[in-house]
Amino acid sequence: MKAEKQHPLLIVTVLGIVIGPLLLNLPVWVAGWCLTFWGYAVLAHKKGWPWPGRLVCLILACIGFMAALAFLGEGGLGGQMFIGLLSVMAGLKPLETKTHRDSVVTLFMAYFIIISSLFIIENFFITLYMFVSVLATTTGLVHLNIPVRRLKNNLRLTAIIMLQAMPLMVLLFILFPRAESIFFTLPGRYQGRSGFSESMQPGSISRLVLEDRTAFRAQFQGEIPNAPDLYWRGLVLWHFDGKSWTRGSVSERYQSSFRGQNVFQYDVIMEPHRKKHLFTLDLPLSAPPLTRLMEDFTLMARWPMRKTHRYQVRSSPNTRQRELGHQGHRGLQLPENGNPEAKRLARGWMSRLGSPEAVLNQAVRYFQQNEFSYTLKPPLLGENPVDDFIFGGKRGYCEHFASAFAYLMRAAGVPARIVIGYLGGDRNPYGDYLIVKQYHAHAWVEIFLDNQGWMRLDPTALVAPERVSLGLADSLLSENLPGFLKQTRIGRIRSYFRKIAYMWDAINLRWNAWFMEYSRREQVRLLTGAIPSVSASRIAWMVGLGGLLAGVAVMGWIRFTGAKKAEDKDVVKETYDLFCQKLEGVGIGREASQGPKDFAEMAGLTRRDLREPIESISRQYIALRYMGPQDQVSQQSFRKVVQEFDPN
Amino acid sequence: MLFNPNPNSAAGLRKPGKKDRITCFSTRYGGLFIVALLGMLMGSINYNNNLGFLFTFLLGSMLLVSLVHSYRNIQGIVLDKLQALPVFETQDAIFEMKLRLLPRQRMAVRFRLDDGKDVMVGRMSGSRMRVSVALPTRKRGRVSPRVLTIISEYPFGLFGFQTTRQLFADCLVYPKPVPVQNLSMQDLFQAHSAEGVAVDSVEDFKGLRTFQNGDAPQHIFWKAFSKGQGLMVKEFMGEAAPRLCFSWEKIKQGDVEKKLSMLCGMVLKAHGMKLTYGIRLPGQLIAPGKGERHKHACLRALALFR
Repeated sequence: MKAEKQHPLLIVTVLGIVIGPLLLNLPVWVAGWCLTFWGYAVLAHKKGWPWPGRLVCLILACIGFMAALAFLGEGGLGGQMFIGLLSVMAGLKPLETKTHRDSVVTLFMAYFIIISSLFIIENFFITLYMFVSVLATTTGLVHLNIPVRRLKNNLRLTAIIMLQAMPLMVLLFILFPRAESIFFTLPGRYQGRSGFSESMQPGSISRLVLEDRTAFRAQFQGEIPNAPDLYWRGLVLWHFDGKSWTRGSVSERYQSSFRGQNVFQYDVIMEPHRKKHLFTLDLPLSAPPLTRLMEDFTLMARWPMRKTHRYQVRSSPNTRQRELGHQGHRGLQLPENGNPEAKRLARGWMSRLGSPEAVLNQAVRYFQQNEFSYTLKPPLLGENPVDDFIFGGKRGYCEHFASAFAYLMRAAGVPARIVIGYLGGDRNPYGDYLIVKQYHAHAWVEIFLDNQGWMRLDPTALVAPERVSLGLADSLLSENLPGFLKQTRIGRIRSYFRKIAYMWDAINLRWNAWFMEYSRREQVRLLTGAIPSVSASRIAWMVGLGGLLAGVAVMGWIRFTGAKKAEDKDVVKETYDLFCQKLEGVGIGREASQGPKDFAEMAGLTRRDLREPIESISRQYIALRYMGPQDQVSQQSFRKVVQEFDPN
Repeated sequence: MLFNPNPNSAAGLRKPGKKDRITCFSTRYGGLFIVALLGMLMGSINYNNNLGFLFTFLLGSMLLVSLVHSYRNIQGIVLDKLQALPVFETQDAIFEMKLRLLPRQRMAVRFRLDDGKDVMVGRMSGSRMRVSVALPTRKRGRVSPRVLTIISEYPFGLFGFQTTRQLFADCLVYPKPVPVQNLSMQDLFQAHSAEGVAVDSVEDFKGLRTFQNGDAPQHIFWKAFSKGQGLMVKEFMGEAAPRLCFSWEKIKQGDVEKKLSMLCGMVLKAHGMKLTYGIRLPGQLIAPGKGERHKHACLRALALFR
């Protein structure tokens, strides 16, 4: 039997290893919580300190859960709270582990923690780390099962089993049928924080400058385009209420494929942001699978992005949307009241100059000559933000410039709209792709001129042209930027770290490309490549069916201990037991130690009248059971004799 | 094949039959693990998460590989011989198994006779091995286990394999001896002559020794005495002491088992004193004798008495 010896140190070590990556994503107090109770469990085991009782554990669990609910509540159920609760439980678990069964269940929980961390942190590192975690947990399982052997040897055995399992794992991974898309999504996954909101008001973009998170990555076929072509189109905003710009409804394009010149072909690897909008360079020529190209040339996914998603697009910088169509009145919409001075200024231009082109030039000149300045910290704006900006502070971030410019254009009668998205991107020297981060967020304007179509105009560039050509950090030199943006005067260590970060990013991207994005499409391509004459769906069916059959076969092969006894059917033995029961009914009980021969002798002595049949049955039984193979006929005759036997 | 897994000459064993096949079973944790694995698979399918798939398949594959290890752990074990020395009631019957093994490292193999306790052998290596398995005895007579089960839950303790061997061996269980302080000669023994057992043949003559109290008077070597050499006694082979016969009928108190236990105690005492003794049971007589074999013959008669 298994020794009821407990291994708190082993359990604590395993839990520590598996939960480590999650603790890094949680506030420090969670790690402190875990370490405290783990430490107590180990010391209590070593020094014989008292183990907390049921009640104490329950109270501690309540405290932990409350703390997790209170401090990790952001993002509803799930997300941080989920892994927080998991960690709180893992912290207390060693204190509650008292029997062999508890230990095994705790290790099962460790497996659960591993898969949770895989769902939450999807990168190359966690993939490698998973093998360490599984090795540790499984070694724990082996050690609980064979405590007599040294831990080192159990570890080696587990490692061997893991290595032997690798080929099968790879095979299953490649062959297991994948779905085309997710069946359903649970809300509140940890991943996927939104970048910018779907509207624009003063401050909505400048606050993103403080965020170092990656929005998406872009891999180009061929050269990465130059900075002035890197306008990543996200959303087009039509409606202005005096303060903020919003989208309004947009319909899908009828025509969804265009030709263009100087085409850029590139893959965008989108980080999850829980919204539908995707990013493309101006202007996308067609919609990739599972997305829609909208009337204003924005790209929409079919469902909110909850996981990393890759799509391939072609864009042409020279193409413009030619038609105004019924968007005309929307491009001129303005609130009735508010910002009167800006309105008066624009109307004055129009009546003086007459043509939209001239008004546009006038507006450009106005922005260039009136000492506007580009800053992260604009003064607060009042009831009429556009007026306040143009005639007051004259200092603002891109959303101020875009908003003011579009307002002036609309007031002058020239259709205008706001585009929000990203501008530029950091080139990763190790992978030759662009990393577009939240701080690249930008807003600009599109103006409709009859002979040009919708043309892009970036008011920020009029004031701070270096924002486009050199990037954010150089255009805001004097500002108090967050550390990750300060490119000048960075120390050697920081530049070293930056290099490592780039390298790391490049490895992860590769890993994502060939591992995380392995999907039905790749599967089908791989399988049809291997067996060209059979269709992919048939292969998928075969694999699925084969897997199912194999599963059923394995389940049939494995007998559960509970069912074992019933399976062990033995006709001869059953018949003999019936015989013994009949004799017991007349007071001749068979002792467990009595063999059939001895029993027959005894029974024969007790009931001399039945001596003959008793001895005959016993002889038959011995013959059937202990000599030679049993044939059906003699079994049946034996059964008949016993059934007819009546000791009463 | 170098190794014959079906030896016909095995003692205490029947020919290997269908029962010798190795079957897989799940421990209480195996089912739980499968359920957890299926849950993880569902989660991975739901999120279409390749990392989840990789993890689930890694665990599943490791489980399958572990089954191979588990199977090999008890495959190739041949029971050559099974025997047990007689024991007294309430002592454990110790069955000693001689095993032949396909030489490989085996860990944590458990042996069980019928429904008895498991015996865990931590490490097995080499090609031959002895393992002793105890079976509790409750009653005199015979303990004859029918099935030897060889079990391995190695290495994970989730699933295991077991194989059974049909047995044909038994262990004699003597009655539990009642300790006898002193054989009170008056009550319990009858002189050899009373039993009409012929003794004293010349061929058995061994030699002479000096007289001791208790020596039978007819063995005194009167010739030597008359020559003034002191009282000498003729010694015969196996005739150094008086011959006792413990009789069932002489014990008045107690039931059958009690009587047998007392007789058992007397036999042991007499054997310890190197006396010559026999026992008389209803319908059965074991002629007086001495030595290990004789003792066992007497005890066997007591064990199997009914």
